[in-house]
Amino acid sequence: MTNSSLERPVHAANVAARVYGSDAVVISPDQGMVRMFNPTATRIWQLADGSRSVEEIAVALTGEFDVDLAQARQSVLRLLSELSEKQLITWTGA
Amino acid sequence: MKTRDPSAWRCNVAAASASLGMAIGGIGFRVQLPNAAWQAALAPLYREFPLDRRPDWQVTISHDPDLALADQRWIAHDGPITRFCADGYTGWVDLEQRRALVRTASLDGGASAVERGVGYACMHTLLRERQSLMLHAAGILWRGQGLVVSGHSGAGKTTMARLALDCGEPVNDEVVIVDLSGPRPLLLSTPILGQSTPPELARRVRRVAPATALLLLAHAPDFALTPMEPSEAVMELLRTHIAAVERFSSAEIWMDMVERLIQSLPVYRLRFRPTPELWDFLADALGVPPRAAS
Repeated sequence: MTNSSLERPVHAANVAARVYGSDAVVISPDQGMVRMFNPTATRIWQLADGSRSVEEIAVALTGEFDVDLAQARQSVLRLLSELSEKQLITWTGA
Repeated sequence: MKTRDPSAWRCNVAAASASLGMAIGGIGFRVQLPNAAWQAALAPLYREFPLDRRPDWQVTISHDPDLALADQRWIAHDGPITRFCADGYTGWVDLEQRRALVRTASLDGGASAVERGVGYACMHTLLRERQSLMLHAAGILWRGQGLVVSGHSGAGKTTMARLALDCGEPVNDEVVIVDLSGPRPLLLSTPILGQSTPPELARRVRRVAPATALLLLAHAPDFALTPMEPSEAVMELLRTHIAAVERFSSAEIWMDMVERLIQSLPVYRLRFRPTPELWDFLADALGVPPRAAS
């Protein structure tokens, strides 16, 4: 994974996802895997639309959840790293 | 002067007659069969699903007595073509050309071979063209309710359908269609039976009724009916509908359709034990009006 401040996470092209209620269901047909995200992960997934950097996502979360910027940044990086390893997101705009 | 060989003409007639037509959920199928004996055995099974339109699909059933596929089970996708092998059948489905071929070793497996090819084709075509979902579910008509009863293998679909024999009409214990194209969802039966469908439920009847609830089953010592979170319901459905989302394009459409399904139909987790008291419990829990006195 990368975490350059210029790079922006975006959903991988071959992943299908929908948000039902406050939880996202993400299907990766190529890998034959299905996952459900909790509400916090779902919000990060929604914000990772290719238009925001990690920092911008973290800042957005501080306005929506009771979390400070350092905690939000750490959570965003951890989740995006995991999603990147699982090929559910890619990085754009480096 | 004759321009054609008369024997060839007879052959053509014989070949053309060894087929059957059917329509499921508004999708038409012409099914080519190995010979007239197969047609005589299989065509009556689907008489309640007559082909009333031009066929959308051509499905060929091939008889291969030497076919030996014990314990083989796989599926592979290559562009629009899906190849499969399971439960003693093998074949392919071409979603682009709308053709399918299923090989089976004997006429005993003929109906299952037909339903395997038709079912896979139907699942994808309904999604793309009919705003309908084919679900691995039982369908039960009961006191004005159209119950769609789903769950993983062993969750109790067949058990519940069997319990409905005394107080309602189980229209299928394996595969039903929910038509989401209109203002209210409709429950449509199919002629597709499961490998373990018991004889008393092996009915290929055509029924259409308003769908009123989706019940996701679990065995339990006591009865309980609880609304399900949408995401939990989707995950539960995915456990038994993974074949519908093995292609990216299908996964996108399937998720859209399921979203529409859970917006238009109440979805419950039904915990139950296999006793007739189930129906009194459900009547109370769903607020079903009492039966009229006879």
